[in-house]
Amino acid sequence: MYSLLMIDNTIYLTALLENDSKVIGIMYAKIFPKVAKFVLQNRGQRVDAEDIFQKALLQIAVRYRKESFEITSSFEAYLFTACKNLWRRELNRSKTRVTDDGVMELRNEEQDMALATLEQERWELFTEKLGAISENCKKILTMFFAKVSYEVIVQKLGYNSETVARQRVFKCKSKLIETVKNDNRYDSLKEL
Amino acid sequence: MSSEEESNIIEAYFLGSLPKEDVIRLEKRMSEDIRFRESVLLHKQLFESLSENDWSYAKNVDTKRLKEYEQLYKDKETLQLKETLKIANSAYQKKNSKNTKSLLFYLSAALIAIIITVGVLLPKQQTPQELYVDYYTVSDIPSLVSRGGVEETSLIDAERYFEEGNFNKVLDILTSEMTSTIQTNASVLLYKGISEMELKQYENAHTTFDQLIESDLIDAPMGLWYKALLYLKIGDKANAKAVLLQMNTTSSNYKRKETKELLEAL
Repeated sequence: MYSLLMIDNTIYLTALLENDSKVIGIMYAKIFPKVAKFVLQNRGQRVDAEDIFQKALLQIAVRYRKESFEITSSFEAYLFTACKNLWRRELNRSKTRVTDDGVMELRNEEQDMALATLEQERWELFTEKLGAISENCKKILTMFFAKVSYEVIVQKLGYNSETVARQRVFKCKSKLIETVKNDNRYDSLKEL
Repeated sequence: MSSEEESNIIEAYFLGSLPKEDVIRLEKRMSEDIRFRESVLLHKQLFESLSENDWSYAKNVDTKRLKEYEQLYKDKETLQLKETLKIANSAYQKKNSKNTKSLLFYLSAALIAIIITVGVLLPKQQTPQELYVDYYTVSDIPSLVSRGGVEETSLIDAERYFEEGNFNKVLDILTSEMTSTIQTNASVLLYKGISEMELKQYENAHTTFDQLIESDLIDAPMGLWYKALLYLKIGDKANAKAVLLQMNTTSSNYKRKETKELLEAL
């Protein structure tokens, strides 16, 4: 199963590197409907889904060309996640268009896609590290970073008090931060 | 200041609960203390990245790496791929539009036939099964695949089979592989229950919807809605009504309008 998955992923990645229009056509038929459904359900139009899908494929191709990497899930799932994140980025864009000085930031398309690529790499690093800590820590931190109140965390996860929950968050967060910082990738992804 | 106290202050800063004077103090310290600044910025990125409704934008990152990517996006190979993608997209959308047009034609014909049948041949009072047909839709159920680093391949397959109407395959995946996820994932329970309902495994569907209703998941009210539809499908008007009345008493707004309409129709 594992090796079949890897072969499947390699076919898709190679198709992107080699401009294989036949396999790219298959990607559209197999994966685009799901991306379109997601975008339409989240305040977008079909044309947004088309744009996101194209950008995600370009992003994967460019990343793979820069440094080949292994996709541990299916290519389909990986592409879908990349599309979802690009759409999240698009939906939150209005918050960052204007800088602190109130001036519109002007970027060309390639600059913007380069930034989106680094952001995706950073998201993958954080998600991977969150997935690697204990199940208990993962649960409490997922709620914490989603800004769920301590009152609800206590109630949902059965802690004795908010103080106990706070201590747990502190310990888990420290562990997460330590593992993120210890990863070489973080140095080139952190904000300076 | 202990590291725990420092962490609590940074946390309060991002949760918006830090008093104004402490905010000024924190921002001043950020400009003077590199280690502290780094810690605050990492917290910011974690909050933005790991929250579903937010996104962590790169603003002031390693320029070398950024330039390398920028160059790769500009090079000939990427531009060629971009062109291929444009053509593939046009071809796909064109083909899809043709299919949709044909489907719309057949659906319109079917709809006209249904309207004639309902309007001319049947009495005005709708049966529970007709109400089920009117109100049953799966277009608004959440995706099985949630955001996460490692997307479950099997869940993606299950969703695809569900969309294709291959409910036996959906159940094969959801019952054999997802035992641990089932307890924590409302979508899994929904897809499982609806598939069982479609396959006329009514007892199983009932149990699955109850499992969702009794969970403390946010989407638990969806279980009530589909349980009511299940009763309508098997023609049990009384129980459908009881479940809809139960929905009416919950604080959830899920399908509130439809619940009211169905209660009136029953």
